[in-house]
Amino acid sequence: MKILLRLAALAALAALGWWLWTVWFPGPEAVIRQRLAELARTATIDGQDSLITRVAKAKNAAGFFTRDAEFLFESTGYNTHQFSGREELAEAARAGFATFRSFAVEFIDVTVQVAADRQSAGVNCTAKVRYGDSKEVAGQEMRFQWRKVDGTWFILRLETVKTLS
Amino acid sequence: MQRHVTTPTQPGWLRIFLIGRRPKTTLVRAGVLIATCFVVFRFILLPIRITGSSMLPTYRDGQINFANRLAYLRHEPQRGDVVSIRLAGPSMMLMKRIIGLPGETVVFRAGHVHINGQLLDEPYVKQPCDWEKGPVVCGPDEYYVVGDNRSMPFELHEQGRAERDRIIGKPLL
Repeated sequence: MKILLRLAALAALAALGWWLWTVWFPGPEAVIRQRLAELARTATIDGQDSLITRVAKAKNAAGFFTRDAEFLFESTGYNTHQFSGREELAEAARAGFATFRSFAVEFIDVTVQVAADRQSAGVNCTAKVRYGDSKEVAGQEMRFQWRKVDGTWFILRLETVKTLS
Repeated sequence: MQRHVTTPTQPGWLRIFLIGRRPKTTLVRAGVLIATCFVVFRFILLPIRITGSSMLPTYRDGQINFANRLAYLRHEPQRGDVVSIRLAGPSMMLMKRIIGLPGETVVFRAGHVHINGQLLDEPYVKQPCDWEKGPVVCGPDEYYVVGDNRSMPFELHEQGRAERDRIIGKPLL
């Protein structure tokens, strides 16, 4: 009985140690998921956000992208847009944040595939957007390409995926 | 020497109402119910809330339904089936009707659907339609899907070819 208890305590310690390791030294997939969640929070605009806050959020959102990043947006009911470079993305984000009173962004059904070199990764997810106080939500499948630059993960390419071709 | 026999006291009606006469049995039953509900509603019947108007009048905005993931266990999707099509995952789905099967050519001509040159009878379409769309050929693993609300402007109505592995089931109700 004592041996069993000791073994159980050892297993619990090992599990705790492994959990702490994943918290203090997260793998690339965990880091990318955290960055994605941060991007969603940054891209979420509250109706009470001032213009200065919106401009700052637009700049912060563009900061998740590499300097040479590309964003291709194609969706039913919207014109096709293509942006290249961080500055163009920031400009587009400023215009978008100024247009809508409020919207909430969330990335769901996220799947991350880290390349063998652990310097690049692909992410597939659905962007769930709620406009204002409306109950209706819009969903758009997105594909990200991430690249690790100086130890930090940035978005190299972002494109919408056509669910129905 | 006299022996005293005490009769066990009956549990109160409130306790019986809440946890039954045998709490252990109640606990086991509750556990089985929770596990069954978890398995059923997580993997077999996905609760869905319909948003949007593309499937009017068949399905209205705000309606609750279930996506039956076992619907195509024994056979493939058929023409006329309303199906749930996943985006990146099952948390958000499109709900559309299949009008074209793999290998078929779909054309919209003056609002009417033609499959391989033959006019398709669509009794579920109740509103007038004036859509025009050139021939679209479905691949070997593709189904042409479209909503029932054909009075919507064509550019705003999401439709097209869906790959088979994106079709995850059909509405239960």
